[in-house]
Amino acid sequence: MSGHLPAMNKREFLRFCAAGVGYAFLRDMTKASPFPVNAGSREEFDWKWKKEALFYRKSARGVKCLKCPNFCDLADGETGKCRNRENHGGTLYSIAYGNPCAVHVDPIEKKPLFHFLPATRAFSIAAAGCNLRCLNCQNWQISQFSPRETRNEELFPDDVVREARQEKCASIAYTYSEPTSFYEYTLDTAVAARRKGIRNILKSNGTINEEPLRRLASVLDAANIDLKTFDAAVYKKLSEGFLSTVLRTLEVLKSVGVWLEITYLVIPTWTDDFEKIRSMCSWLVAKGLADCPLHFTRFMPLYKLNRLPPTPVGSLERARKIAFEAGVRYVYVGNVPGHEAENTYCHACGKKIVERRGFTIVSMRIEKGKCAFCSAPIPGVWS
Amino acid sequence: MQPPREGERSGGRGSTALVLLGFSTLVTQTVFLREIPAVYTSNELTIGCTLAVWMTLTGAGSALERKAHPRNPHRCIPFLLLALGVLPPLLLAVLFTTRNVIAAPGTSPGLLTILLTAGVLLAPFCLLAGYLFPLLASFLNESKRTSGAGRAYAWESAGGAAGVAIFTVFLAGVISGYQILLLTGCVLLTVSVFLYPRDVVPLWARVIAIIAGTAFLFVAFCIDIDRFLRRPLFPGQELVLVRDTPYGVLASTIFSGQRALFVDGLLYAVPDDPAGDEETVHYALAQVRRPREVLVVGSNLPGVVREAVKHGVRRVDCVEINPAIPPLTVVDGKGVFSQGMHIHIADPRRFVRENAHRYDAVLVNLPEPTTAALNRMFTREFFSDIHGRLRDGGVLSVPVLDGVDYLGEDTRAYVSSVAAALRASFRNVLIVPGNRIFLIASDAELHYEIPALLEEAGVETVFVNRAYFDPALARERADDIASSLRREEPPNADFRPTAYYRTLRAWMSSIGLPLWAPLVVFLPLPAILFRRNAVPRICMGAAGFAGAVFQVTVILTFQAILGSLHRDLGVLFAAFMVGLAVGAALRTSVARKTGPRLAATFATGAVFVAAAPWVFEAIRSGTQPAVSFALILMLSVVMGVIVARIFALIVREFSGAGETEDVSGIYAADLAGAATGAFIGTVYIVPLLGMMSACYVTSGVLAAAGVLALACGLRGTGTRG
Repeated sequence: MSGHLPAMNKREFLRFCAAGVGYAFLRDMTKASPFPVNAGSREEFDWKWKKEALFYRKSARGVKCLKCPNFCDLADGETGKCRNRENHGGTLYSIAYGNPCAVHVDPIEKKPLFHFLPATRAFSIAAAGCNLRCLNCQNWQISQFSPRETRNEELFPDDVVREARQEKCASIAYTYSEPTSFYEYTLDTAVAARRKGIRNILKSNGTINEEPLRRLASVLDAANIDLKTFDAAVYKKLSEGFLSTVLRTLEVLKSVGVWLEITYLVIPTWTDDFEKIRSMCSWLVAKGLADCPLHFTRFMPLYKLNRLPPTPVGSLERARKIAFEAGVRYVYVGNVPGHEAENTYCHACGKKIVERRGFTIVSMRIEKGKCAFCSAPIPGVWS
Repeated sequence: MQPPREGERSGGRGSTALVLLGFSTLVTQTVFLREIPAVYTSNELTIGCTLAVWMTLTGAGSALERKAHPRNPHRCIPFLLLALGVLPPLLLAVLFTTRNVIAAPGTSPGLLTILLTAGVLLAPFCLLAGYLFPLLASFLNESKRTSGAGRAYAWESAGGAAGVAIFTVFLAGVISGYQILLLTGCVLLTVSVFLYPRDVVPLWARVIAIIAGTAFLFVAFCIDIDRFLRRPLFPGQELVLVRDTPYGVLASTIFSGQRALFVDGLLYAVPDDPAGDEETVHYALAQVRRPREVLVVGSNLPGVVREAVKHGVRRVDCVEINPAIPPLTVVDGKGVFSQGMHIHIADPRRFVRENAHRYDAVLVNLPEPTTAALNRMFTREFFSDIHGRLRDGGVLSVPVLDGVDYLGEDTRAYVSSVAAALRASFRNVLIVPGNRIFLIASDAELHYEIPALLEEAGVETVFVNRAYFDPALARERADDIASSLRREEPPNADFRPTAYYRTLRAWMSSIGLPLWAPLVVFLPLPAILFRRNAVPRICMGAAGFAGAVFQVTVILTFQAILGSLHRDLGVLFAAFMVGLAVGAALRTSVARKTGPRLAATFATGAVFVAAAPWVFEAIRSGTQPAVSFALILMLSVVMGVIVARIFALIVREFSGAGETEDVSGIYAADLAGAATGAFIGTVYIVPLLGMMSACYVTSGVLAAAGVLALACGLRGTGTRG
């Protein structure tokens, strides 16, 4: 008997192992795979929750998505960075149509929207996928996955509207992940909702190109946009996002009359540069957005950004003060229960006109959209 | 008396150098296995990967010796030993200072980043250590021709056992990891230069080594080097205090006036967190009519106590395993002692088991079970013990997750396993979706009308009230979570830690990798095993693998039962090393056949490992911690003896003239097997199969290797001489 194993070609064995594992490794690492995930699946593409995408064109490679500034250029079978738009046979499909993975009823203040139908409930839906890669994403289990990987419900646009009515919700909120990534579902649901008199709310990162935004805005009633920082380099590093696009989104939404509120998450050492916050607030005022409520929200360690402390309340208060000094009229502090900056104070007389505790309204001193004390008009949609 | 001959002198130096090598290697390994996770991502996966990288590199270094044997090893060894002493503190400094260059500040980077960083960072030391072993072993061969490599293994193991015992048993918690490395470096610098005569180590080299050693001592004990080096790990914050404790590196920081306490870089407590404190206390205490006595497992004590006394609670027992934590979290809340708080520094598992007191509520206030150490606070056995300490109608509160709008597959499985563990002891389990998701368990009925119950009890709150907690919406969300839970998920248990496995998987999916991806590290393994003399290499690899899996199983069992792993890890390592030293030092007769003896040793190992589950059960049912501890140490020692015996038998076969180069290959195979075993055991086998089945798998591996050795023999004939 020999102590040696049968001769084998070591190089071939290693090459085979390396290639196999390396391929799978890369494929899993880059969920927006560089390899065709559904190659040759033109006939096999029987995904029930699909709809041909809007805003794309043919390209030398296959199709080019024009919905967001990522401009994904996809060969046949490839998936976009948002993980829910796929090229099948030269047609770009959204695969997040009628298959939300999160469906809840929330107080509208939770979005947060403080000047829009206060004390009402929003029927909130999300499908999987997002066009950004935020290091601090709270809902990464939705946003960083494809609808193929999540546990979904079947709820087509008319079903959403029906359920929202059953739940006596004044509005439908497209939220949690990134509603502009499941654009077609958001748009069709918003159209159906508007027909039934239900308002539409967008909770978004604002990373969408102008043409699709304008089309969506035509059926929106309110939006809360995350403005993550006023520094383009930090935007890229923190979220792989584009500051200029988000700023343009804010301008467009304001110009078309969608009620707009802005959320700014103050992350220690990342987005707590007070000079940048001052510049941002000055920009908002200069662009006519002084009346848009601005929410400075407390960061808690989450997801990949979990080695930082929570935002000190003092930092939020300082940011709020800076915003007031710059001329922003309604500035709130979020994620700090019981803080006085949850309340609304009239910009003209300074009196407390909405007293909030969490998601409930304790007292409301706004009458017909005007301050009950000084009659100054209070911007917002109050009924 | 005759002076010793040159051969004996070089053999004596070789054995001393091997002791130094083992000493330095094990101490450095222990420190880096703690620091790399603390700097990047703190979980067993990171530890397992770091260990795998370590052993792979050391194996590569050992294999390198065969390719690049120095012309004059006598002259280069002292300088290599000096380098061995200087490198670890330098590399640790590089680890700290490059942290924010390699990964964005404040983030936990992905596994690939950790693997690459560990590979690059550890390469100089590990390659050198691996290179030195066969080189030094060759001196023993020169001096005594019988089983020199086996004796080298014994000396190295003895050095390792001594190093781990001294630094992790006696000095851990007294001095920091950095100081330990500086002190080890000082020992190596000093001893190395005096070990060799002047013609080998010239005077200038001796002077430089002594100056460097003195500088090491100065830096270690006259400068707050830890705080200085760790500053980049806490960007933007004032680092008030760093303390290396047996349970992790504690850091207290101040940021814009806000205090925060980090353990191994992860946020552990924020003293001013009223919403978090209210959730910890009120979801549970609202369910109890007039609670009087409460037990809190974990920290953030003042806030929790302040909320508990609002219910008229008279006594709050707080049990915390790490004695360094309460003084830091209670810093601004000394008044809580007058409110009836009693701090117990003890293992919560043992405290609950041995304390006869009964409580109205037990509040677990810990992070998610992302480590084996935390997992034991979320198991069926612990919940059963708590159940026995609760009065009629008493409740247990367990936070399982930060509040999210959707649970991914692994998160659902994790929550399911904890919920199943609770249901094994309690009649009712309520899911409360707040900022964090809590599981409240009791035999009494539980209610979602928490704000109303608090109002009825006259408890005023800022966060847990009608303003934030709508019972109808909470019930709806809870129903949604409940419907998504996996009924088939087994309860999280001491000997089957599924929750910990699932949280690891969830972490892997958060960085976009499947749990099997780290296996790519083990790709070089076939290159080490499938070479000439494949059978002995495979046998040695199998022994290293089995030894590591068994040691991991013993360690996790120890943790599950006794819970003082961080403190006693060094003792367990030392016990295994002692076993290795003893096994390798045992004399081996040259006259008998190696193949059958090797097979018999494998068979003994297989039977021993297969019998271990009975010992585990005996330990679990035993009441004397000292006896349990001794039994676990015995298991480690015996396994060490068996692995070392196998090594000694195999290398004896190749220790003749002209064949010493094979020793490095066999040593590399041992390390490769051990690396694979340590990783696969920690990440896959134990969490997935449980401790008992892990033993049976290990036993099977040993048995198969024994059959291979018997069937093929080591050299075809199975005989020597």
